[in-house]
Amino acid sequence: MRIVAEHLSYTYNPGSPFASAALRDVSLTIEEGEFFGIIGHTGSGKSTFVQHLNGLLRLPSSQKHYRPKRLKKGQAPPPATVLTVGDFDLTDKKTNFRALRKSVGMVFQYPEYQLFAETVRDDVAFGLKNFSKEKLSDAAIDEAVRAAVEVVGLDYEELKDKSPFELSGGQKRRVAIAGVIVTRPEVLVLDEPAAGLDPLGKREVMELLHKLHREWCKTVVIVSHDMDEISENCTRAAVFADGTVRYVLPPRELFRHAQELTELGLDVPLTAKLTALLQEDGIVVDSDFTTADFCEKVLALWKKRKEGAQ
Amino acid sequence: MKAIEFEDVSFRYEEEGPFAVRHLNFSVDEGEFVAVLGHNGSGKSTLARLCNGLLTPDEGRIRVFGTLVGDKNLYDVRRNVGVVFQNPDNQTVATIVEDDVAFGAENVGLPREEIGKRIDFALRAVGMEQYRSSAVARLSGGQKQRVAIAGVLALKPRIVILDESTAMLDPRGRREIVDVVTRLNKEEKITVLLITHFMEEALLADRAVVMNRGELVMEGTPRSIFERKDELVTYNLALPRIGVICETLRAGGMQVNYTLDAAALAKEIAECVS
Repeated sequence: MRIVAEHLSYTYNPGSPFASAALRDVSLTIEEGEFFGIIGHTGSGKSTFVQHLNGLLRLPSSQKHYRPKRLKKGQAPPPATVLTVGDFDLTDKKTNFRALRKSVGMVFQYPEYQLFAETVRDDVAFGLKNFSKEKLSDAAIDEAVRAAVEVVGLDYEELKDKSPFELSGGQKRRVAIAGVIVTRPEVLVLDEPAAGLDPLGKREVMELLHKLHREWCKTVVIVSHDMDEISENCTRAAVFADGTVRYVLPPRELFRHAQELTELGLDVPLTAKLTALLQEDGIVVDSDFTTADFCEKVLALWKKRKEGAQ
Repeated sequence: MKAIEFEDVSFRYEEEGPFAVRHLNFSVDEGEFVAVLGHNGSGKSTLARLCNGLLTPDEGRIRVFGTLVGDKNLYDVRRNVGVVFQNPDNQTVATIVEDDVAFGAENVGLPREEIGKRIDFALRAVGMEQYRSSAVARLSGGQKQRVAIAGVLALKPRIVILDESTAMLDPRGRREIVDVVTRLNKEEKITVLLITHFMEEALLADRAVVMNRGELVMEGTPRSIFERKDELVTYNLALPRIGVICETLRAGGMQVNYTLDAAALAKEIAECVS
């Protein structure tokens, strides 16, 4: 499912003294099959954007049809807002948001805080039961839950009757993710999926997301503060600042703008920092900013110079 | 003087359960800045909770500034040892910043004027003076954590323990906390125990220790710890990224010195390739 947003604006508490514009005229397209990154510091509008993708935030009904009553002569009407996810038109009130939410899975920050059921099986099955129109048979639920628990790398037989609160932190997070993907969403959106984990846990979660991207959900969107995570994993990334989208680029092009990103108060991957520092000395390292490629390119430069010296 | 001393301390959460901390011998000098590393479940947080009597050891002894931590002096110990936890939203009790900072000081029964002074001092120390009358709920995560630190500072503790206090913050919030803590250590001479997953943060400490399965397995300057790469990996920890780059270049034959500073590494690379 392709995600298209055009001229999307959103204001919290409109018309009150607390009104704050979280999104201003955002246009952004995420293609089917991408592993897309969303970057921006706190308050940049990235969460507001992401919450539109499965209709948690909806366009005020006035917005789509908004037209100034009297246009000045020669004044063009404001462009219409477009927001579609696959065939779902999110600007249309009649859209089946229940079906949309089944297709767009949303994993919030620290999803393990949302575990609540008495057993792992019940917790993972919760969304599945809620989304299906007819009553599912126990066997069908078991089968779907087993598949979801196993794809996140846990042993179903061992865990199904355990309380999710007895599990380790990493296991809890996996169970929480299983509870979202159990409905087989086509798009999986995750807010800071690796936050708060130790380095090994972080790596495991990212590996899990790649596995899900290959086998389970066509499109994966992650919100992350960790630029290394973005440069190592994403096909493209969008940079949010002050409610607007500043860049939408593949990491290898995005992090060439190291200085502009720093000015926006964002970090850049270490490889981009080193590349910028080397550039000051007139050394050009043309890498895709992953650690492996950066080292390879530096070593290639070094070998070339060594051969030149001989 | 030793700020904290652990003497052969063991602790487990359940009888017959596994030990969360096993025969731990460990000490922190007054004024020292120590980073504690270790994977999830290695016993780091248990260590923090033992330090101020939130947990009592099953075996062994813990001393804080020479005083044995026990049931009778728990409140004195806690005035000396402030702990800031992970989740900024779980640590505020009042709706307004100054009330929140005053909470601890009010509880120990300080006189009114003294509390006012303590609030001034604590908010200044964390750089939040201008938010004195703000609503806590409207602050960012980093600002909330700074208020939590201020609440601890209002009791004028000699030791501050940060138990993954930066884990839930964005990079900017993380920098704010790390700056505040470094300054408290340097200027106010407060002893700091920083428990963290972020290898980069550990680099700021005077000394780093690594926990694994409840035992203290590595100890030294952060730099010396990160030089023992193979060992770190066996404890499920990773090098900071800069260490990975150094290692990879060296493995490829380039003679760069092992460094954990980006500018220094860029210089090393520049010398090799130009």
